[in-house]
Parts: sequence; C-alpha cells; structure tokens
Amino acid sequence: MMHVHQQRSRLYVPLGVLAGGLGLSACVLAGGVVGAAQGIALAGVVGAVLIYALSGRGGDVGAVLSADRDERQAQLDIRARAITSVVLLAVCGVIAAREFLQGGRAQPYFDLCLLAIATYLTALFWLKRRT
Amino acid sequence: VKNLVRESRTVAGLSQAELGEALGVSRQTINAIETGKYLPSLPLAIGLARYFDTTVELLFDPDTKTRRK
Repeated sequence: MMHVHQQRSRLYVPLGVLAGGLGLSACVLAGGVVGAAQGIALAGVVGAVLIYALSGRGGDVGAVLSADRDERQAQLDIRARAITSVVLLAVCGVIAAREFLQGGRAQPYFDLCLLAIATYLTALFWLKRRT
Repeated sequence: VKNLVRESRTVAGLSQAELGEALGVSRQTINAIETGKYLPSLPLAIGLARYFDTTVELLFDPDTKTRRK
C-alpha cells in the first residue's frame, strides 16, 4: 500500500507540468493564437497524465518522476537533467551557428546559449561557495 | 570498489527489498551497490555497516574494483 506522503509526492511533477502547460497556453491565448493555445493546453494535460501514470510504476523511473527518491535515484535525476541541458545547449548552438552562416541574427538561439553559459558559471560559483 | 553487501545480506537472510526498506532506499539501489554500479554515500555506507554490525572498511574494499555485470 502506498503511503500518503508518496501519494502526495506523486502529484508534484505532474502538477508542475500541468501548471506550466496551462500557464503557457494562457499567454498564447492572450496573444490571440487560439489554436496554438489549445494545443499547448492539451499537451500539458497529456504530459501531466503520462507522468502521473509513469510515476505510479515501481522502479527508478517511477521514483524519480514521483519526487520520492533515494540518493541514487536523485543522482540519476541530476545526471538526466545535465544531459538534457547539454543536448538543448548543443541544439541551440548548432541552430545559432547555422543562422549566423546564413547571415541571420540567430535569435533567440544565440541569446539562449549566452544565458546557459552565464547560468552555468553563476551556478558553479554559487555551488563552490556552499561545498 | 568491491563490497560484501550481497554476502552479508544473504547471510542475514534478507531480500534486497527488505534491506532497502530497512535503510530507506530502493531495492534497485541495493542491487546497484551489490553489483558495484553505484558507490553509496558515506551516511548510507555507514548505515549498511551498522546494520550488518561491521565496519565500512570491512564492507567496502577500496583497493579492489568490482566487475560490473
């Protein structure tokens, strides 16, 4: 039987995804793009349901998605986030380079690369002070 | 780092899930420690050693590498 704490922690990530999706959808709707807003809202709902369903499974993936994890699963989460960040940065870098080569301004990809580098350096110095 | 967690657990007659529950970690984490895929934190290593009434040095041998399965 699942404990109340585990049940509650299962909701954290799906609710975050749902809130993010609906928030973004509201912004797009305010901009007058109704179709895109509906699509984003639907994606948020589907994503939240999917993550909730996956978090109910036993094993590492379920534990990480339910935010009720032990130290090894927390490391898995951190590594997965790091890989995601590197992949996103690489994609932004490649697109920015391609757009620069075509004579464009590479926006917003170049700015995202700068933001990622600045965030990394800030986080590095902040974490260095703490540990 | 080679360790004697599997041997100690077997002698104690525990399953990986039971040991994990006793230490507040998952069955998968106990399995990962036993197979050498995961090196536990110092608090968890101490917890394991205390649970089996031994020392960290005896439970974990830093001079020997475990072959990953």
